[in-house]
Amino acid sequence: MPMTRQTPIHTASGPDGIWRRNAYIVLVLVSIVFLVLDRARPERSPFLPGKHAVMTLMAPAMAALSAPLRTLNQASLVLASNWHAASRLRQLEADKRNLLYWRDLALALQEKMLRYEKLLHAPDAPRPVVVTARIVSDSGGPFVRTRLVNAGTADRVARGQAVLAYNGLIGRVMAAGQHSARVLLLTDYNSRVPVFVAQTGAHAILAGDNSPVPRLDYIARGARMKAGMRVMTSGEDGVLPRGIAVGQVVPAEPGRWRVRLYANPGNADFATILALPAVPPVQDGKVAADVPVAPASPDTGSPQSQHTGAAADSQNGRAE
Amino acid sequence: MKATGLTEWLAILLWAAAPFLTGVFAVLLFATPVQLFDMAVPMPLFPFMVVFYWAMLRPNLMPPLAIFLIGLFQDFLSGGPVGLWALSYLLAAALISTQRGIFAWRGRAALWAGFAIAAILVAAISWLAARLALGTAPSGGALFSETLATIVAFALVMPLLDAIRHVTRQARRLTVHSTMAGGQ
Repeated sequence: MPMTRQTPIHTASGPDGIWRRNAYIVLVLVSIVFLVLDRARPERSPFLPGKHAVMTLMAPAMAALSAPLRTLNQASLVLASNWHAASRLRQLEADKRNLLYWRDLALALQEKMLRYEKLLHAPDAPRPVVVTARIVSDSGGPFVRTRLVNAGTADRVARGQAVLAYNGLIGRVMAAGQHSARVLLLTDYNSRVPVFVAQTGAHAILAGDNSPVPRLDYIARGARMKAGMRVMTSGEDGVLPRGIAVGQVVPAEPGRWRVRLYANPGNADFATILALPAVPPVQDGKVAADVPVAPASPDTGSPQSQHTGAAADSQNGRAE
Repeated sequence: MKATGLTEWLAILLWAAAPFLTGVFAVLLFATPVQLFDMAVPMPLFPFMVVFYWAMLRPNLMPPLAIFLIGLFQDFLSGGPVGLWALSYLLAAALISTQRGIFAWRGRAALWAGFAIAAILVAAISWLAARLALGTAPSGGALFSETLATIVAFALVMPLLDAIRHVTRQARRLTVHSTMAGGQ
């Protein structure tokens, strides 16, 4: 296969060259028009049906293509795991001791909460249906942070639903096909999520900027911020439920704060979708209780679980 | 050119469509999540490798419309701004193809050098287009690592593309009595 040739190379000259040059000019202009049309009103882009169709058509192909690469990742994980086996074992044992303490505490609190709710005749909180889906596609490119998952409207997935991975929120469903859905990650430029800081109650907007640590904008005036504080969804947008763990506050540029996400969407194989109405319907002027709040009983492994346990519990769910 | 049987037509079709189909496959590959040691790996820009390779060596098999469609397919699949990659690929291919005399058919090293320039062009154009489309300056870190990965990976992908070109050309030659002796 020689990479050299003796015949002269034709560049953009002659009738073919002129035709080619004109085609380039026309198509560049068409691309610019497409870009303008798409970005003028992204939520009403004329290309949304096209994106939807490509997503639906390509989801099975992406699932098949990602299978061997998943094996590669698993093999590398095994290698890495064996490398630090002894230290990881010690860490896991320490974690297990801590978790047993927290489990007992959670069960005690749950029991206390149920008693209070009964005394107050509080309405039952809506139980989220947890759908576990496999992440089959990356967004492809440095400018967009989305993922394609292999669950759609047939699995009760709908636009706006919260998407979690392992131990925290990673984004929300931005479009759903019958058997696939596109997830807008918290790190994407277009992502804006209202949150609050658990320790102070200060409200803010979590704004993605394609970096792995999204920034906190519009922090309530006078709020005292400290690194390590927990950030949770506030549910004020009427899209995501209140109380989902997002991450921890980390200092950024002077006077600015960012959030280190609990769940890293970059290395998640599965996503857990909370398939329920994001905000409970208003009944008699009162909004029903926040969701999700109560952890599931570890004995039952129920899918109606709190965020931090949802992903792990539901790994044996739909996708497998 | 004389083609009389179904096999000959299929061979011609394979030869003519191989660059575009490779481009489509490269888009799918580019969108596949890859992790090593539980960390996301910067994905090389495979679609542009295909676009560049054929636009330099066999431009008649990678016309501007094919480049546009590959870019557009990537835009639709990524869910990002429509036209961003189509515009980037078209502009970079148009600019670099004016220098075919320097980079094409002069060995792999020359082609790789041309590709490095073209990959940097794509990165610059896509950054500018994203800047205008998103209304804010995208972070250069991810773009830099992706461009670097793209340039390095092209050295590995080039032999594969050579093999595809060779196989499709042989299939066509074996089945079609062509008058284009030494056409490639």
